[in-house]
Amino acid sequence: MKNFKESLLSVLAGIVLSLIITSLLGESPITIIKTMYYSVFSSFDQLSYVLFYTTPLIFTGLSVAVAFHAGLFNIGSEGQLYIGSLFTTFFSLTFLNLPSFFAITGAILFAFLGGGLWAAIAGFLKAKRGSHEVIVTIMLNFISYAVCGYFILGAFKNPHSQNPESAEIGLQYHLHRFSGDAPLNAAIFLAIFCAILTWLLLYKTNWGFEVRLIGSSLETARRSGINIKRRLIEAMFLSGGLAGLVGVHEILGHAYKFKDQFSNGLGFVGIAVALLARNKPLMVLFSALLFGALSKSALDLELDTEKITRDMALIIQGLIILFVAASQRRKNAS
Amino acid sequence: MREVSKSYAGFNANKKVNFNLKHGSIHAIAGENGAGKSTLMKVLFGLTKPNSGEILINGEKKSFKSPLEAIASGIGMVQQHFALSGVISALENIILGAEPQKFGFINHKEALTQLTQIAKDNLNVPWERETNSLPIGEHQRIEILKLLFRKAKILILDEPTGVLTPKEVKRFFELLKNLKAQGHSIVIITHKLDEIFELCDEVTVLRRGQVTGHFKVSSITKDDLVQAMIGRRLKNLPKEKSFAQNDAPSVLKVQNLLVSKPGRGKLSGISFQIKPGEILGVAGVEGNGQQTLVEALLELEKYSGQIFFESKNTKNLNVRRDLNYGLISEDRHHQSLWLDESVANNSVIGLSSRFLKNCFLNFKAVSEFSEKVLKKYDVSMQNVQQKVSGLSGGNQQKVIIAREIDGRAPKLLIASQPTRGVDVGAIESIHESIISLAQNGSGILLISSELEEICKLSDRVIVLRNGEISAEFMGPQYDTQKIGEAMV
Ligand SMILES: Nc1ncnc2c1ncn2[C@@H]1O[C@H](COP(=O)(O)OP(=O)(O)OP(=O)(O)O)[C@@H](O)[C@H]1O
Ligand SMILES: [Mg+2]
Repeated sequence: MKNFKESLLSVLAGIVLSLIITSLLGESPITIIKTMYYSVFSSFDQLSYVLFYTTPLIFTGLSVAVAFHAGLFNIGSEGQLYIGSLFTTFFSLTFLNLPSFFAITGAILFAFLGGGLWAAIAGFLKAKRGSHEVIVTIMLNFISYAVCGYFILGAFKNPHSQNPESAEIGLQYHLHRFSGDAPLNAAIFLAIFCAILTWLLLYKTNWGFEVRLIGSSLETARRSGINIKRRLIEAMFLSGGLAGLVGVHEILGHAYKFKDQFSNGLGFVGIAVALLARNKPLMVLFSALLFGALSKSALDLELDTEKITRDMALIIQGLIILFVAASQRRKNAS
Repeated sequence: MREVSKSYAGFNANKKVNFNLKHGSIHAIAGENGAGKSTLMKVLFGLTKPNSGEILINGEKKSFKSPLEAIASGIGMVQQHFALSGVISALENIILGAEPQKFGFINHKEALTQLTQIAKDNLNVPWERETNSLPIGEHQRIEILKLLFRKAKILILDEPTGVLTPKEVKRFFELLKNLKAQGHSIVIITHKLDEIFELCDEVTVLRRGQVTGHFKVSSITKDDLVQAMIGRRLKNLPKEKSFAQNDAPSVLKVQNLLVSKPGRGKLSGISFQIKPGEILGVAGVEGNGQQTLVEALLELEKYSGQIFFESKNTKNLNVRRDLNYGLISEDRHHQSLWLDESVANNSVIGLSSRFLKNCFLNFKAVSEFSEKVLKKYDVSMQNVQQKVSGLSGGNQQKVIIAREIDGRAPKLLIASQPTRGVDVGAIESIHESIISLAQNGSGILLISSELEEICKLSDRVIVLRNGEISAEFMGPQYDTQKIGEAMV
């Protein structure tokens, strides 16, 4: 509860400071608050857009949080979500005649598998060779961009398009879309389901017990008989799998094809989402919602004001992270 | 200190405690685990704020908001659990936060001259070595030097000798007496009665947060002191007989165990065995291979040679999981506990897979189990849902003992410093547990720097020196003099 209050304060502090900065730029804070408010709450469609932006952030936020519980800093959610997307694209373009239920289930599993395996490489190297996961996941990110580009422009190429994107997936793969303008789709239910499942896994099962012990007290874990190597690889697999599910949202729920570089940093925002949620899976839902709302209002700020660009959202995000980090630091010190 | 009270979430750790420290005296604080000794001193050092009461230094009223302010008033404290950074050198740890500087850089040379002056030859430390690579005994000296370096006049030492060997303790006491002669005042929290009688001028006894006695050391007896501490006398039962089954096949057999390592901590081909029911004591100055021995037995360290558990080669096995070894590690915070979790969860570390209900952990069963195994150790705590970090040091140790002995009921127990920082009453019950484990036919490897403990419990004693077994002694009677000689 205290943590929650602190997070809330950090958010408020971040926003207030940002407003001060914008008013220094010569834009009235009132206008900005109004614009942001309308951008998020003014209509059902607006709200749906916010939830649409929120969904992938839930996946990546959970991804980072899970790894963190095992004491691993997964910077590779970005790459894992691409590989997950690639796997799901592969599945959808390969099995053309499945009934919808099996098609979607299979595509979801493949997305998870792709992201999971990609992250497990880092987990494996960490467990067996002690290679630092931060370095390895960063490198894997770069490799994933290239791998995806290779397939999108090669085997999965869309013959009818000049753009770097894959062919379209079949109708039976499309997730249910809610009515309205926004591309909000059923993937959000999958995201909420994953948050609950992750929470159960981490806090209610023996697996989670062991993983969290490894993350917070490695030496004790080493001497307790826990199979640390295995748990590290599994935790990374889960972490990457969750990131991979972004592919479900994007490809089965939104674009219906793999557009090269579609993510543009969702994996990295996931780090901020997890940080603000203090790695609590259920809090990730709210934290992702906040960052979703920020992304949405940033677009409108750029359109509706003269002096403010969408970088404003980045600044607010940055400030929030700064305040969260500062409040955690203070707690450690005391 | 006048009428100091401090409560944690409704639990009174200190109740109206009065405490007077005289100039140039050494004052002991004694009492059971969880009596509030550390809490009282943390208040004095500005680490926690009292709920009420006041602190007077030289008649002047003070209230410290932080240790920094206490240090400025000439108070220094060494915590029960050390707070050193492992990755920087001993020297850097000592000067951390008070570095002598030159052009904005740390002046290492200046620091070294100042320190050698302070240390003379009483307290020499390998200054340049990375702190992690030093045995825990050296950490204590580094901590003391930290205080002296900051010109503390009042030194608070929370269980300072817990990690020192008898010889080191002697040197350490000489140092303290010197400091006293130079006009320092010293508060020392200790569970060791001998130390109080040897070193201190006065003693204040706490029990359940209240002062139950304040004595001049010269005017009381040991029994009176124990009575004030735990409210009863010690049973002082000697261990009657050996339970070693000398004809049975060994529980543990170690052959030519060799671990090569630069510096300290190597093992150069040692062999020994433990029979069922036997307690094998390992004496020796810390840092002579004990830790490496434990890690090798746990298969956490690469070695050559062979280790057999009940005639099974343990190479590359997960011995804690598959062979159910019991383990009491020497560094309880880092090697045995999960500090930000509850007492209940700490009671099942390594055992958690026994508490499955469908796919989930059965936390109710975990709590019940925890309550059950902790019962006989009389742990002072609110309940098992409390965070283990909120327990006093000795009570944390009890949680570990209960888990490893009563929870696991192991065939082989490796016990490193099992009674470090534990009060006299609890030492008794821990010793009883170890003995009854032996009685049930388990083998026990007892590593301890307490010669008294080793001699009391062991059926046989080996002495580790520089990675070799320098001597072996058969019980039940031991010549501590000779063992001591074999150690160095
Ligand atoms: N941070 C805390 N939160 C909750 N309870 C605490 C906290 N610190 C201490 N306590 C409680 O206060 C009591 C006194 O603790 P303290 O550490 O002062 O004992 P102690 O006399 O030093 O014991 P020991 O000899 O075992 O070190 C204990 O029962 C402990 O559980
Ligand atoms: Mg204490």
